[in-house]
Amino acid sequence: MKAEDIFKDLIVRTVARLMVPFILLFGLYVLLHGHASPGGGFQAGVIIAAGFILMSLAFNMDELKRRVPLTFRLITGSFGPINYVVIGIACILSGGYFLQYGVVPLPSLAPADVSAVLISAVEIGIGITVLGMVTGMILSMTGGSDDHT
Amino acid sequence: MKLIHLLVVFIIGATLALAVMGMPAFGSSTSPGYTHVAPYYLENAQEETGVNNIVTAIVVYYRGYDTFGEVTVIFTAGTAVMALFVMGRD
Repeated sequence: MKAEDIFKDLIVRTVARLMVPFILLFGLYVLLHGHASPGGGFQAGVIIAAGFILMSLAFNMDELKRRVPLTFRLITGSFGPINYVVIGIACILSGGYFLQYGVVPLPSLAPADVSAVLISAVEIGIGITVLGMVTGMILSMTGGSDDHT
Repeated sequence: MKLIHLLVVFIIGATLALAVMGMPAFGSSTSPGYTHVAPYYLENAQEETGVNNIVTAIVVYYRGYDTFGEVTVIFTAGTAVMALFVMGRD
């Protein structure tokens, strides 16, 4: 068995096929429920990236590279900081300090609820950044037939 | 020369050991970590931020600048790694 065929094993493939949907679902749960239970953007991004990496190891790394080109990885990686800055500047424009979430006038929401919504938005951006960057680093390290676009 | 190195190591170690003796007892409820801002967060975080997880409230609300820096660090590190691997492939 060659080195690159280790992960093409039937057991690895079957376990990956069974596990990956639950890993992705658990990552989404940790991301979206992070404001009420242990979790948050960083952890959720790593969990979802682990699901993608397990899938690409067990099946086809080139397929994931083709579906997630380098440009897309960089765009998802930069989404989090941009999202963060946009929300922070929206707080300034609403008359508060940078990242003072409660002052943003969202319709029919109390200040505490507004800040909860914006904290969730920031967490989702963080998760997308971590997901894009971890997946992108793994895909870049594995080499092989990658695009330069 | 080796004796000087040994002496420096010994002095630094003794200083650190003395400093450890001045720390509050392990798990002590009067240590500064439990009496400075932690009670304020525990009492007010839920009403002020609207999130039930106080860790998230501290990380994203009270320490928002810090988390912003962390996200930027992740982005910069990932971009640097990807740039290195893409450049080295030619």
